[in-house]
This record gives sequence, C-alpha cells and structure tokens, in this order.
Amino acid sequence: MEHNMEIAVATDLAAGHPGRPSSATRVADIMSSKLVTLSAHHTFGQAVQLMTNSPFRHFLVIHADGRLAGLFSDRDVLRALGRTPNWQAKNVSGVMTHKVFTVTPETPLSVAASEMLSRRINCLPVVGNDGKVCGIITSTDLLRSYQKIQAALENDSCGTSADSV
Amino acid sequence: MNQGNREINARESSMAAPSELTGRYNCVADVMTRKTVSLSPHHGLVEAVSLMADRHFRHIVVVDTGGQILGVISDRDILRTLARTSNWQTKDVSQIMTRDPFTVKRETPLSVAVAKIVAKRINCLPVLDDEGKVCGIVTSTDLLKAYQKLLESLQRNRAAL
Repeated sequence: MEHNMEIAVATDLAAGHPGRPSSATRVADIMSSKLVTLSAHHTFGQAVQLMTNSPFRHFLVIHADGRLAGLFSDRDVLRALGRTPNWQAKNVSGVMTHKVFTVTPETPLSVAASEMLSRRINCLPVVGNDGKVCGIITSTDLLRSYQKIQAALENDSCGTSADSV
Repeated sequence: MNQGNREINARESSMAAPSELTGRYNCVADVMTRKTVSLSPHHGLVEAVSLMADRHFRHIVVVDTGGQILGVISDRDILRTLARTSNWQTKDVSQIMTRDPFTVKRETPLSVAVAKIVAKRINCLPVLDDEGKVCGIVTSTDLLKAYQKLLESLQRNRAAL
C-alpha cells in the first residue's frame, strides 16, 4: 500500500485567507486548502528530512485517489525517533495515526475547536463530500481567526500595558 | 543528586467564567493557567522528561531562586533532544531551554497574546507579575478554549436574533 501513498504537506503558512476574517464561522472560511504533494515513495527518513527543512508540523498521508490514509505530526516523529534505533529504514505508516478524526468544510469552527481541545490534537484534515482531502485546519488557523475577532472586540479591554511586554 | 534543590512548584488554578456582560474574555488574566510547573536551570533533563511523561502539560518554566524567569522548555524541545542526543541523560535544563522567552502580563489584551503566539510560532507565554515573577502561563490551548467559548456565545446570539 505504501507505494501509492503520497505525502501532502499542510501549508499552514498559506492560511492568510483574506475572505471574511472576523465573520469566520465554518471550517471552509479559514482552512488551508493548498496542500503541497511530495514524493510518492517515502521512508521515515524522508519524513524527518522534510520536517527538518520545512516549517510545517502536521503531515497528511493520502492515497493516490485523494482519500486520507493517515496523519502524523512532528511530535509523533520525534517520539518515534527517540525509541526507534534504525528509524531511517522504517516506513511513515509505522508512525502515522491511522484513525484520524476529520471535519468537513461545513463544520462550524466551534465544533472544530472543541474537537481539537477534547482530543488534545492540533490539526484536523478537511474531507469533502467526495471523500477526498480538500484541506487542513490547525490550531494556528483557529488562533489567527481568533486574533482578528478578539482585536475587534477589545475596545473595552482591561488594560493597555501590552505594548510594554 | 541533590534532592533538596530539586523542588518542583505547582500552583492551582482554573479558567474563570467569561464576563457575564460580554460573554467573552479580555485579558491574559482571564484565561491563563495559574498552575505552572517550574524547574531550576541546574535540574537534569531527566527530571524534565519524567515530569512531562506522565502529566498533561507541555511546557515547563525555568526560574531562578528568586522566581525570575530564565527560560521555558516545551515537550518539543525535549523530544528533539531525545531524538538527536544519545547522551541526553547528562544534559541540564539550562542546556536545552529557550532563554529569555517572550512573556506577557496579566493585563495584556488577549489579541496581543494570540498575535505573539501566532507570529513567533510558539505555544506558550509565561505571565509575569509587576515584580517580574512568573504568576502563570498562557498557552495556545488556553487561547483556543477562549475562542471556542466566544464562538459558542456568538452562535447563541445569532440564534437568538
């Protein structure tokens, strides 16, 4: 199964979506939909290399037909490195999470946030009606959205000393 | 191993309810975690590892004897060291901590705290009191909780219209 998988990198840097920031209510409003696809043949060693050279923290593993195969985070990789002596030869599927909780573009942001909190995860793949991965939403995407709405709400804030810290 | 110096501090807390009037939080003090776990710089990495292994937090603050902040250690810092350093057992907290971390105050507006966390790609900000001592920590999880509550209250308001 490995050979027809691809690694898709969630470009959380690309998440600067202009559309409706302060009225964002659904996953589609703030998710990163640009997924960079890399080599189809990959080992754990390649995943480590990728992680070292990129700013991303979450990696989706998808089948050739676009369906989600699994997910792994930098934490998963680091944890595996610590306990796996010959990790270079291992396959990514050995460290990835296979049963991944996903959302749809229509999922309300409050639901996405509470799922992340209760599951203690930082990333949810977004799967469309066709069953294919169409994006990813991370806690950083949510916080970026929060920042905009919170700044707008802070006219009656509790202090102004923030500039000094 | 000098156990006498190896004190681990924890303070109690919980997130307060959002303002009755506005249904939202405004400043760091409203959402911060007052229970911080702190170590001294001379603690061994071994202690940091065992502390984090069986508890539900991801950040340790490193303070001097006067309670002044020296650095922070995250689970990522630890995992990275474990993965790359064969003799990690010999390392000290001071060797892997992030020195002079970004900090906030209790009264820092939440939007400012969120902006720092997002822009600096970090997940925690130690909260300092007026004397510069650590009085809490605000993490991306605390902020996500605040956002989630805000989203829910906005939803309720929308439904009520």
